[in-house]
Amino acid sequence: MKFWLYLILFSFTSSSLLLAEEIQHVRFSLIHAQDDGIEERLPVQDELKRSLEKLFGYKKYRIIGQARSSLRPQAPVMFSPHDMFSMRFSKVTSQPAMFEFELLQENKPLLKGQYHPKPQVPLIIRGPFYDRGNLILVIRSEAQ
Amino acid sequence: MPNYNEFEKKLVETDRIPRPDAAQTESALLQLRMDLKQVSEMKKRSRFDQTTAWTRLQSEISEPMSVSSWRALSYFATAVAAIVVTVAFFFSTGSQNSQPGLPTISGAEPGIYATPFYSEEAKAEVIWAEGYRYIPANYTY
Repeated sequence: MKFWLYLILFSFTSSSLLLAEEIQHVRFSLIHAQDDGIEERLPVQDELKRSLEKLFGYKKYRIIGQARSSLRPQAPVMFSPHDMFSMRFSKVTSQPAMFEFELLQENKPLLKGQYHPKPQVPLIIRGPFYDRGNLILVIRSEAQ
Repeated sequence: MPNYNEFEKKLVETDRIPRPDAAQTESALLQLRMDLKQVSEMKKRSRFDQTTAWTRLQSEISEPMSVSSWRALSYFATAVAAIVVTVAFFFSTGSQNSQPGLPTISGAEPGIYATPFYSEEAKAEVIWAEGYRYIPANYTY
């Protein structure tokens, strides 16, 4: 009897997961990478730090801005983790969920393209040189 | 050489054996037919009896669909539905993950060159862009 109840519960959970597929939660971070002169501020996200170290080779990484939002169908979303950079997303296709993005620096468009957010796979965009390091933009799709 | 007298004697003896008349033969045949009919009817009846017995036995063994049976059936249907939904979900997520779906660049500010790729080492999708304007250190965040 309990087995059946668990199965029913499981079915409801999985169907709600299916429905939740429509909305994707995304976090956009602006990171300053430099060997010295900055305070390390990359909380808990060791995996991201390892990825950044492999790609850029800097010793220290500091998040200087963060924005979170949900990518919904038929509604363009603007992320502004910092005054300097912002990113606009608008949905192009549903299956698979493909978004058109535009990266802006102080409201001036820099890059345009299409992106399919995937859980567990961040999108890392190399930004401009800043001070003695580099600015990096990271977009992560969060499972919720 | 056969003895002719003996042969003749045997012939006379054979002639003496009484032969059944036509009426006798007919009644014997009628009797035989009746017997055969009786045997066949008995066999038929026994087959019918067997079938009836089996049907009755089966109906006695199988219980009628009670409330609990219907409930069990509904649980089973729900379980099957759950499995179908789960399998569909895993297939849908699996197909999404299996897509390469690298980001594409459709436009950039003049002087900026961007290359998208997947880094196996970093386990991340990367847009490696070059040609930005340097941001000096006096710009503070």
